Formats: sequence, structure tokens, C-alpha cells
Amino acid sequence: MKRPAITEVDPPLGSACAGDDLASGSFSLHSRFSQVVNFVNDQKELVYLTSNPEFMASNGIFFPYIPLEKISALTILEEVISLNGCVYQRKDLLVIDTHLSFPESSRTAFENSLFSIPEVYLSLFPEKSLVFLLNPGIEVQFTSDFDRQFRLNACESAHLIREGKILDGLLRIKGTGYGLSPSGDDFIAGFLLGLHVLGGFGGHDFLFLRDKIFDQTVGDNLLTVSFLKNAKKGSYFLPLKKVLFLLVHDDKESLEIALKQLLAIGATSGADLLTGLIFSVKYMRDL
Amino acid sequence: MIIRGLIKKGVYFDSVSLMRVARELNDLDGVIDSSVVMGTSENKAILGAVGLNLPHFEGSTETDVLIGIKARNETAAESALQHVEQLFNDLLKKKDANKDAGAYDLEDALTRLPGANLSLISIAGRYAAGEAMKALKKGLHVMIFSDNVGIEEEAELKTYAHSQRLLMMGPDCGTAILNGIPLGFANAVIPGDIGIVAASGTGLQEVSSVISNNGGGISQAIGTGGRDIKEAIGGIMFLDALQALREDDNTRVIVLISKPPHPSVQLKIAAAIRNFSKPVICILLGGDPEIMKEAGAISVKNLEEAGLMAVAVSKGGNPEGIGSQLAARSFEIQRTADQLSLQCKGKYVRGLFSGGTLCDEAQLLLKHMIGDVYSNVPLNPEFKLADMWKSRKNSIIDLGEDEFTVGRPHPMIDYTLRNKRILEEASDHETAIILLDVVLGFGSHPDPASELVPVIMKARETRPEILFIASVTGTEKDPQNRKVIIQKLENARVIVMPSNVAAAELCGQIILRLSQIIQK
Repeated sequence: MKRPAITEVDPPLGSACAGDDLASGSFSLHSRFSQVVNFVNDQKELVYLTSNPEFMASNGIFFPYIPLEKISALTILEEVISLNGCVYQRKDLLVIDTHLSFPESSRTAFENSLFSIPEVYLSLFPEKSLVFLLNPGIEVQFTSDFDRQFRLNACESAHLIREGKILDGLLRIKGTGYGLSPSGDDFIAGFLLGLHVLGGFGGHDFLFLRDKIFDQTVGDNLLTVSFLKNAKKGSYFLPLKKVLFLLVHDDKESLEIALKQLLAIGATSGADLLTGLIFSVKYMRDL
Repeated sequence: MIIRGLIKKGVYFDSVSLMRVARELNDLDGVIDSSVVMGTSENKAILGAVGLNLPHFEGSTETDVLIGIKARNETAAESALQHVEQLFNDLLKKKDANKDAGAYDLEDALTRLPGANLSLISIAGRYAAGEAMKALKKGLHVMIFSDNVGIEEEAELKTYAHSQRLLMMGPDCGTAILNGIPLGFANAVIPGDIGIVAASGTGLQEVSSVISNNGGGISQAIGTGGRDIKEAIGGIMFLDALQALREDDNTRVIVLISKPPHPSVQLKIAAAIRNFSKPVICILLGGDPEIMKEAGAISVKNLEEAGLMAVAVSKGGNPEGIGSQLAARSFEIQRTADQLSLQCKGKYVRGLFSGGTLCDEAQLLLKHMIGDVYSNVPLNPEFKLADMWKSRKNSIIDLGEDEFTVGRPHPMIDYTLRNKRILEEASDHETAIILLDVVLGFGSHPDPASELVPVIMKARETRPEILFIASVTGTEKDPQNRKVIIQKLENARVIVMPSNVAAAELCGQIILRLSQIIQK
């Protein structure tokens, strides 16, 4: 089945679109949020509907003007998608390409810009994000006992990774922190994507390590499983892809806006994802 | 010091909500410390390290929310727990308020709304016919908004509907007003005694709006879908709708709107209106008006004239006066064109339309004034644009055609494509005028001016001399309010004409003058 593909990183505001790796089958409602409704099939694969194109990833479906609160049934077949019994042909939907290539010639500029983000754009990071792992000089607004213990734990995790005890470090941070997808899991997803970035620039592709990290850190929370799975295979959440694309093309002018969009996702999810990616590129590139 | 906690099982809250609850808890009097986190084993370990893990947390899973509270005394702990329950209940109520899901299928809809007598179908075209037949067999009138339904299926549906004395409007029927209820892209019009049958969605909108804006009112407006007047369908529903209006006591004047029907269908329509007791006004865009005139209809040249004529007949006024009124306006348009052409740079008009019939009407008028124009849907096949994304000389584009709407909403809803095209056309130094139709009504964009004005201003940054000419189809009662939209456009120096045909006429007059200036 031939489908049109978009190549730009801007989300297609007015066009219905689907991610490039949708599971199929009959799905039941998993969880419902204001801009996202998650569905799960009997293979425990997650697909979500969103009314916000900025939230697209490989397992997302975006329909403009969709009355999200009314959608309760989803079926995905090879040629059609059915929402509450209304059938849409998949060939009518744009396909979001969630992958990104990294030309080796742009590597130095990319890394310099990437590593400068935690300093240059520090004010954009939400309080309680893990950005302190990249910029130890940051004054952290962690006030509760849980906060302090969480920070200590995250710092120990980072230390283990820097010492080369990668799996131990990631297992230490896994499942910890705030939010529906705990901060530590967002960090691990970013870390996996960072390994993919390094491979994309022609370095080590860390395939074995990516599989190992996924196997060891994946839990039962289907939301976490879903984004870790995307991260393992190098499939980028659209707002993160946009930031990386702008870094690859050295477009500093648009970078701040893209960063604002990414870092505004969830309470700290966008920030922790980016932190994990930067951490991974920074400390894994010489391995 | 008291440690208390609770588990919220299996209910998902977004991260921002969880953080907000955590922040509110920490701010409560008597609360020393608290945490609101997902129940992963790792979070439980941290809770344990800070003394907030409670025995009953052990049975929780990573999809549960754990709330731990450290309070100064029992009262403060109890109060904090009650407060946190209230916060989560509020979040749940907010979710439930949005949970009233729509009907799952036709059966479900009929259970929820017993006594319904019309089904509006808007699903992927290949499935629409099947659903429509189900509805017809349940005795419902049907309006199919979807396109891409096979013409054989359309014929089958309409033949069946005709045998059951049911309306089968569409496929690709964008607009109807039945018993005062607007369907699809209809406008909020005044009720009255003028009935409309239209094989054209935006044609129906333009005429019903002109009628309403000029003091007339609509009894019924029945859309048939554009293919009804083709030979394969034979005008089945056009004729049935005409008969329905003939029998409707509230309808005293009838307006027929379509592109040229197949000659065999036109003969059937002419035969049907012969000896009609009610006056019939007929606009067949680009068709031969004589056959209808001979059958007793009042044939008019454009959509605006059809609306004005219907009002005049309905009010018992002088229909001949409409011709003089429009002739006087043409004179005014010429004087305006004299002035505007002096400020113009460039040579050509670029029309960017969201309404198919409005696009056709503009092409027809311009053809008589400046010759054939290029289009993705040209009147003359020789003027078909080789690349629909790139205009050539004078071009009038229908952005509502399938080639532009695959995978995106109709341009009456989504202005993205038109805005992009406005900037592209404005950057072409041969463009003198950009002609736009702005179609209001239920289902259309809630504020088209908010989309168009910033783009027009941006286009003027590089081409300050470019002219924007527009018409606004709709009424002051529309959700967008025609008067407000016109004001916003005029504030952005858009020349807003009273109708689509008047806007096209002004463009034609300016282009004529520009070509003369260039020749000199």
C-alpha cells in the first residue's frame, strides 16, 4: 500500500496523519487525557489518538478537530482505521516519518550545540527536571524529603553510568521520580535515543546494548513500555525530532521555539527525555 | 508526627495534574512532607528511605498512584487525606464531564434518539452507501456528506429512496436547511417562503445568504449532490425535491440552482416546472437559460441575481427592477476599477476559492470579460493548469477539489493551504489581485479573518501594492457574524464586495484596465 510521506519536521496542523509504526487489531480504551486517548490491543500494544499534532510519535494518530472525549472504540486494519465505527482509509492519512538521519559532516556542530543546551536554555527547563545531571551548578528547587532522595539517587545513577556501569546506573534511575511516566523512565528513553544518534553519525550503533537496556528496564506500565520501545528502535517523538533536526541543520534561530515546545511536554517528560539523550551522547561517544 | 497514605488504583492522571496535587498537599497547614508518585518498586524504595512507605503500599503496582503524607498530628493528616481525595475527585469529574461518548452506530443512535427521521452520513466514501441504504431501509431521509461514493451506488440509493418517498441528498452534499435546521455547511438564515433545490453546495449557501441578507426567508433548502443532474442519475432527487417544494404549503417561491444539467435531465426539469403554480427562478451556471425560460421559469445569470430575484418575487416587488439595480452597480464597479487600476502593479488575477460553485461562477464571469482563465477545474479544458500548485497568467483555483483535500479538512474549515498559496501568489510580481471567497456558516472556520488577516499583512510586507478582493458568503446570524468578518477584513484593507459575482466583476474590470495600460 503506497502512502504519502512527509519529510518536514513541522507537524501537519490541518491534516489527519498516522505514525509510521501502528500496531493493528481491535483496541480497547486504556487511558484518557485531555489531548490524548490511549488504546491497547490484546497483544498489549499501545496506540494513541491525539488532537495535538505536536504529540505525534510512531504509534500515534492525529485527526484535526477530533472530538477526542467521544472516541471509545478503535480498530486498525491494514487499509482502514475505524473510530467509533466511522471508517477512514489509511491511504488518506499522511504518514509521519519518525526517523532522522545524521550526516557525519554535521557531527561536531551538532554536539557543540547539543551540549550547550543545558546552559544556554536552562531557564526553559521545568523545575524538578533531571537537567541537574548535566549542569551540576544548577540550584535545584527540591524541597521535600522525596525530592532530595530522588536527586541523590539520580546523581548516583549518573555516576555509575559515567564509570561505565551503564546498566547498573540505568537500573538505579528506572521507575523513579514524578509523573505518569516516572522521570527516570523518560531519562532512559532519551538515553536509548542518544545511543541511536551516535550510531546515526557513523559511530557504534550500540544495538546489543539498546536491546539489553530495554529488556532490563521495561516494566508493566504500558505507557512506559510504549515509549521505551520507540526509543530502542530509534523512532523519535516529533517534538524531539524537530529539535534534533534543527541541531543537525544548525538552525539556531528556530531552535528556541522547538525547545520550548519539547520542554513543555508533561510536567518534566520532555525535559527528562532530552536530558537522557544529551547525557548519553556526551558520555557514551568515547566508548 | 503522623505518616498516612492512600493509593489511587488504576486511574491515570497526567503528570501535570499529579505535580499540582503534590504541590497543593505540601502547602497545607500541618503537612510536613508529602509525595504523589506512581507506584513503581523504585519509587517505593525512595519512599521507604524517607519514611513515607506504608505497609499497604506493598500491594500497589506501577500503574497506581501512591500518596504519602507526613503530618504534625492526626487532625492535620486526616484533613490532608480528605483534601487529596477531593483533589482527585475533581480531576475525575473533569474527565467524566467529557466522557459522554456519541452513538456507536445507526442502531445505537436510533435507540438514543427515537423518532429521528433523518440520518446525516459523513464517513469514508466506500462505506457511506452501505450505511445510507441501512438508514433508508429504516425509513430515514438521508444526507450523505461524504464523497467518493460510486455513481452506480448513488443511482441505486436514489431509486430506492424515490420508491419510498424519502429524500436521499448527496453523496457530496455539503449543505441543506430542513424545517429551519441547518445541516452541513449551512448558514443561519431567516425563515420564510422561498424554497431552494440545489445541485451545488456553495451555490445554495450564496443564494440562501443573499435572500436572508435582503429581507427574504427560506422555507426549505434541499441539496442533491452535484451528480444528481448527470445522465446516470437522471435528476431523480432534484425532481423529487422540486415536487416536495411544490407540495409544501410554506413554500411560495422556488429557486433551482445547478451547473448545466445533462440535456435529458434539463428537459425533465423543464417538463416538471411547466404549468407550476408557484414561481420558479432558475440559475444554471453556464447552461442554456432558454429551455427553462420557455418552460415558464425566470432565468437569471448569477447566484446573487437568483437570490435578489427570489426576494423580489416573494415580496411581490418588481423583478425587472433587479436588472436595473445590478446594472447601476456595474457602473459603480467600473468607476472603482478606474481608481484601483492606477495603484496596481502586476498583470493578473489569482483567485483562491474554497467554494466550487463560487469558483465556477467567477470563471464564467471573467471569461466574458477577459477571456478564459487557467484553473485546476477550467471551463475550457485547454486552460487546465499543468501544475495545480503553480498558477499561470489569470488563474482561478478551487482549493476544495479532491486533489487538494486528500488527508486534510475542507478549505472552509482549514485555511492552512490557502494561506500558504496566498503568500506564494503574492510573491509573484505578475500578480496584481488576489481574489478570495470567504464562506461562513455552521461547520466552517470559526473566525476566518483571524486566519486571513495575518497572512494578508505578511504578503503586503513585500508587495504593499497588491489588491485583495473578497466576498463573504453568510449572514449576520452565522456563528462568525458576516458583519464582523467583513469589518475585520476591511480593516486589513481587503476590498469586500457584496457578492461573489460582484467581486469577480471588479477583478475583471481591473484586469481589463491593466491590460490596456500595459498595451499602451
